[in-house]
Amino acid sequence: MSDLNSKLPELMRRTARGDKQAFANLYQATSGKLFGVALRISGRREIAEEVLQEAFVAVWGRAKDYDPVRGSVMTWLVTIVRHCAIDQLRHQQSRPEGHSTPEDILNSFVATGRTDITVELRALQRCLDELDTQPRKAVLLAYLYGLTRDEIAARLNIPVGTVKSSLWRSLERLQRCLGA
Amino acid sequence: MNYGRPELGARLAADYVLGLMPRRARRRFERAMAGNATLAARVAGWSERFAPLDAAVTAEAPPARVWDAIDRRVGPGVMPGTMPGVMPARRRRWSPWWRGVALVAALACAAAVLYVAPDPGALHGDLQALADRLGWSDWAGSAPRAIPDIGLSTMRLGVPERERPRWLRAALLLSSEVLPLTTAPPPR
Repeated sequence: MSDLNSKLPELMRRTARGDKQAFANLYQATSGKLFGVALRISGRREIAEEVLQEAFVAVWGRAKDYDPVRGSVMTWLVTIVRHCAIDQLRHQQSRPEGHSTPEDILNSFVATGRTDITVELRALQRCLDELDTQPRKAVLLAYLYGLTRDEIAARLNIPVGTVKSSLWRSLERLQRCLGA
Repeated sequence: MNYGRPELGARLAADYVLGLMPRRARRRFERAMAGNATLAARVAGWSERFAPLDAAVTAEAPPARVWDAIDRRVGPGVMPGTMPGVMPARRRRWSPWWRGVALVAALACAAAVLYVAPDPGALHGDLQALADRLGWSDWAGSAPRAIPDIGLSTMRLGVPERERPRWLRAALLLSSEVLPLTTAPPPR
């Protein structure tokens, strides 16, 4: 992964110059992970495929906007994919059935046999564990599945106002816990 | 909105990264972020904090048709054999109008207003009929043989009027239904 990450900035620079080969290599290097992210939010393969397509067409058009000072290439790409997936869901006004719960997802990260758990993920999980149950779920439902505040309120059966206030308090605690 | 207020900026940056913003608010925020290093740094901070959740996602190779579609939409194909595991679409020569399509398609994604041509061939036929009605004899040579499944209804957002080729303007007319299309011959 670190080897891959070292190649991505150069691929992005060349993509921004219209180098189609670099763009193809960028796709080759990142599409597996990004398809996984699209699948997590969309919940359906055909939608995730559409999302990935839209996202990479956007990447081609917006590659010049990428600024390495403002974050890693992968983070920038994930942001585009997540927003495309969220827009798709909201446009369709339907939610996929059969999502895992946020807790399931988190547990799967530390399930026996996974050897790719990073220090950063362990730290994030430890800090998430320090939050109360409902606020933690609210944060994860938003980030992992792109739910709106209204949808989170309905899912957790709590008022929208409570979601708003508890989300921000949770994020502040998370920020303090992660030490940044 | 005053993005310069520290607490508001901090909250909006978190909303942006969590995915809580409606599309329009997100676009406004992105424009503000482009000229506001503090906002951008807040967003980068939250993005990196949550990034481990995405890094831990199990990668899954998308089917080759996804790349084929991207390749069709953004421009000429990659040289055969340069994409291990992904079969490129047939090679095409570079033609400038595709650049416009790439831009527009990117905007379509950002705007999430999707118009999927039910049948690209039929759409091209419709465009030809419209061109005939308008007496545009010179448009066909520059038009694509098949309009890809781009967001036609968002084209007006991204491409200035003077830069739109005729086929694109025709597509806009079609998508906006300004001119209801019939198969009747053009008025003489």
